Amino acid sequence: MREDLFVAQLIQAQPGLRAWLRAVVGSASAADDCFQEAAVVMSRKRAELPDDANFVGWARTVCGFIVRDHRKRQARSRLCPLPDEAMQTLAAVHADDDDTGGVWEARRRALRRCVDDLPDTHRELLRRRYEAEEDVADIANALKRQRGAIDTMLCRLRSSLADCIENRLRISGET
Amino acid sequence: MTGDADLDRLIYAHLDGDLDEAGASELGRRISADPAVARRVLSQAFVAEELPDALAALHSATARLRRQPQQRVITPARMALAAGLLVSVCALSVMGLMWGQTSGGAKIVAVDGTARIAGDPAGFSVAVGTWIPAGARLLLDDGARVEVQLGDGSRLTLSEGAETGLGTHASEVHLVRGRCVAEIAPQHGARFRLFTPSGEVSVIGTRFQVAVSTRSTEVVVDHGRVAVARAGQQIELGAGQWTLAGADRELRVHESGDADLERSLLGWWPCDEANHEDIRDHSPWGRHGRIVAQSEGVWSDGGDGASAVALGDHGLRPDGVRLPILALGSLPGLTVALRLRWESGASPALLGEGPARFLIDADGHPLVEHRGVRLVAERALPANTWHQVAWRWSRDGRWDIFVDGQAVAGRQDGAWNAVEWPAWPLALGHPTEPRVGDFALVLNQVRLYGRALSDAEVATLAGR
Repeated sequence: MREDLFVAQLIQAQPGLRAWLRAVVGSASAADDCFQEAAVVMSRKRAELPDDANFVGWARTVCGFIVRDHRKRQARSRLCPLPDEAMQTLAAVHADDDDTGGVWEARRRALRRCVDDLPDTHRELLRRRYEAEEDVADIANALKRQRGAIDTMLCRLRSSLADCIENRLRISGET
Repeated sequence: MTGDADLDRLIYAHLDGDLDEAGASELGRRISADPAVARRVLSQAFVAEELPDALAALHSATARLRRQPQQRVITPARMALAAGLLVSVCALSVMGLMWGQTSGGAKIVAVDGTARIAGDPAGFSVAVGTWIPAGARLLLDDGARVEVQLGDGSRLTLSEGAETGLGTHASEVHLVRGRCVAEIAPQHGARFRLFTPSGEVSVIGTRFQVAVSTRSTEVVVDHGRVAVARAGQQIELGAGQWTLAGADRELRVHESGDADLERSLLGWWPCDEANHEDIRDHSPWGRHGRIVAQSEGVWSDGGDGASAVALGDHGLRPDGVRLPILALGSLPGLTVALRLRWESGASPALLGEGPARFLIDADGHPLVEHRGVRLVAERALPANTWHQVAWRWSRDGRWDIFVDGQAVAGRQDGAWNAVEWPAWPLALGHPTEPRVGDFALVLNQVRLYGRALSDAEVATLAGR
């Protein structure tokens, strides 16, 4: 694949691939490491890929190999990986839901609108946790709440944002 | 699927890396049994990945500089492109390679403003976490600042409309234009190379700054040693030393205190285009301004046959001259100098609503406002006479005001220890205030420097 085409395809596919990796490996840092390793492998192998190839499918395959290595390492750590069958289902669903750049950019726009619509207190909680990267325990301490209550709130907020994205895309016909 | 609280708790724990064995087993079972569950996991994974950027997009540009990069070494990068002058920074290599030798790419670790990958048909703006493959070119808007981490852990902070290319080798980057502050990780015997249109830089672990304009490449070494080569000539720079490399300059080693009024010049607007629509920048950066609210009496006599821009009720309206936005970032200092003839009234911010405001009060005293603290010159400017006024900030939190090359006010204040300067929407006069009021002032020879000029340099500007 031509370099300029490869660069464009990889940039467009990033949000979808990163979401899939996060779903498979769990933690943000592990997903980050896997994506970077995969991207380097893809850079090396791009010459073997025809210009009209299914880039996302190929990229997901490369990511799959990297994830497999990661899971071997993870098996020796305290982290608990999802069973293989679940990983295969996630890959199949991800492949079914066309992950072209346009879809993911629409999702990004929808997420921003959904975050914008949140009450200030909820948005501030998300900002402290995910933008300022404060520990949940520190946030709970500062707000004089139980840690579990903050975790529950964050869980609900993330879940509601996922629902909000789907609703917005359905209404706008972009799914 | 919506409203399944138990499932959402499992997904939440999984995506934060907090799932125990039983939880992993249960979540795995549900994913395998129902594709809708898998979709929900993917949907929430997307939210988890994108949420930091979505939150940042709703904040000010300053707030977008977040998510300090983790210190782990990312997979090494393969980079490349081409150029002219070679600045090589030679420092001792200490650490061993963690990821083997070279391979490609870089990662965005901070974004303030808009930056894009050249040739990307979707025109996506890059975000924190975006991985830039080898061979890609990163284009910054004028007001943007982006920090990237290379495969070896080196970091580049790009600004001032930087155009950067990632080469096919891990240790090669091209800076076509703009500013780059490079913090280069130990290179283990190899040399990191940064190419510019007028040169090439190679480094083995050090920190230096490179500014590439249309005419020259400025290199300032913060620590470590740098060898700069151009057209068969080579010099070495140590900490605090600098050089300007360009077609019309001899390559020379300068000490930090050496006077050179071309060094770190960010913009120079003589305002001598009387009756034209543009205010031309005579610095190598080409930050030309545009008169957007022409009115009678814009141009005035600048003395000695020169022209000048008139601000006030009978001159340009305050939003009359727009200059490009300047992303300042981490500056070692700042100097604003201009000639002016104050006539009456309190002026607007003379160089736009920037991180610091430079004003003349109603009685003719030059002053600076920075982070809510003011420094006011005790002596007022006599009305209707030409003076050269300069404001100087240094990194230790000190402001000084000069009139005609002589210091007339100076103070150090903790509030002025700004390490990071936000983007500056430059303008002659206040860019947003609808009406300035009853004042009249004429100015020309506006200069902006990204460092604290020495007293001698300020005096030279004043013609002393």
